[in-house]
Amino acid sequence: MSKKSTKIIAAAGVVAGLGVAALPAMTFATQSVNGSADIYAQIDPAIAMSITGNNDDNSHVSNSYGAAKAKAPNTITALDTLTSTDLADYSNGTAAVTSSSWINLLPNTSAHGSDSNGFKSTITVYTNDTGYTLSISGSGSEGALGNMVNQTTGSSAYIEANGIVKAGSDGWGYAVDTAVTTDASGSTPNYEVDGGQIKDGTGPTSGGEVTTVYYGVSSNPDQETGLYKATVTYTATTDH
Amino acid sequence: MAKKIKLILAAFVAAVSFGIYQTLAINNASAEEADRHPILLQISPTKQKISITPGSSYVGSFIVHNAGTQRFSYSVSATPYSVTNQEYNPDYSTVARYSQMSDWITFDESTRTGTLEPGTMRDVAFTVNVPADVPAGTQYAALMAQTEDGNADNATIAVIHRVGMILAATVPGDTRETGEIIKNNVSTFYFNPPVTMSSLVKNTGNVEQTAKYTYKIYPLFSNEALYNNEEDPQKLDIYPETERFNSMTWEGAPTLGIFWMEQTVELGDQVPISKVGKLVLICPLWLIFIIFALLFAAIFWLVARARSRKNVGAEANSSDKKEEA
Repeated sequence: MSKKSTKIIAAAGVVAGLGVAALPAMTFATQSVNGSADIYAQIDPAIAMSITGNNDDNSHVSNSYGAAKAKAPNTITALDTLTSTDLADYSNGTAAVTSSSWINLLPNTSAHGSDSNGFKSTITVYTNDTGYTLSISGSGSEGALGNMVNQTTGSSAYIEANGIVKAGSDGWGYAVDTAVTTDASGSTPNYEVDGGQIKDGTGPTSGGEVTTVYYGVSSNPDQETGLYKATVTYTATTDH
Repeated sequence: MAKKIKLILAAFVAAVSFGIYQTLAINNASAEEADRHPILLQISPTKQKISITPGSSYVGSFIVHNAGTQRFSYSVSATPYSVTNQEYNPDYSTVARYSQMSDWITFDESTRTGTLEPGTMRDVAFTVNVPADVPAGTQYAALMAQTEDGNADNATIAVIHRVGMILAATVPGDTRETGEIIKNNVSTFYFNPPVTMSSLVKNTGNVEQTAKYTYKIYPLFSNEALYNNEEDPQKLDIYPETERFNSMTWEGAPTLGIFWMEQTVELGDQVPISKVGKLVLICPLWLIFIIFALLFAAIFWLVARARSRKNVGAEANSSDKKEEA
């Protein structure tokens, strides 16, 4: 056997030996212990509600302004520069004004809520339960709507919750999901006033379920000036 | 030179890509922000079923959560809870035989009212002080969380957000779990979808019972179910001395076909199970008109043909007789 061949065989032998020796180390290096753990997240049933009206300054100005204006509506106008006091009012916790609704009308006129004038409440319900009911109630008898009362101190003037909305007579009411566009005919109501269920919703909701409640209001020829106000409560509960 | 141009182009493409990504990210963030409500009042759970004993107290809790983007103040209260008709319209004001519990409920003063920052929640504790003379059966109340925030001072319509948890408390003793499955309807013919199965269940006992509804729908010539909720049947609570109407709508029913539809209604353990299965035909009205029109046309043609043959036969006979004559 030549010297060269001998050297080659020896080198191969050394390499092989080193490889065999490395095997346990490699095996050790590549060994691993595997395990698994189950991760759980418990989601409990819940129901949530949001109401949006057209008293929403956020559509035009910043959240801060809207909140500050809600805090002091008669002292801050759209052209005012927000001061540090205004911002402090916001940081003191006044929620931005988004829920209530507002309409302006003259005596002897009517106003019907619509998507364009926004005189409505948009109620969004979220639930992961199998169904829900949405109800409306007011300050009237058996949960019916109450009269809109003039907020001027000492005034007893009101707009009656009778569901008859037509120019020339005072009245107001609500309509669910479909806007009313014409005045009442005679004394036949064109709006609802009763409290009770307005939506039998299915669940679980997907991205929330929206119910739109339009309001209508009308005034008599010598309706007293002032800000008339009524409060409506929307209640959501499961129905399973 | 060419290399420099390539480098510049590569840098330009990278910059544009990054810019597009950032724009998309900002737009997506804006969209997400817009979807979040300023005031979103959440309560959990939606219903609690408990057991109470006369003369004792039960302490429980539920969670009020501010899921919106604005701080709001809240308050909690207890109202009566009952249902008024077969559709189970809720009544939160009438105190009746099974809705007296709201008068027994008090709240921990430290959590009865409060302010919640966005994303925070509060555990609200309540106590049911059960009178010693309360009758056996199930009592109901709604535990409400509400906020009046978000209303402008110049609002014409101010709104109150109110979400409620139903509390059903069973008093042991002389309880009755009786009832009746009054109706189990599967109609056999529809001109068009939707296709529904309905039922009416009555709880004549004095405790809440659970009704289970199982629906199966098969095509006429197949054993493979188009719909089968046997492994997860629909469950509804039936309150004492009430009737509850329920219907299931087959979403996505075709406009034409013959199907086997089956509804099984169970109420508690004491009431016999009601199972109804029927062949259901869905056929549009215009198709029925066409079928009848074709049928009439076929009958008319057959009759006309028969008469025509009869006339031909009669003419043949008369010409034969003439020839003989």
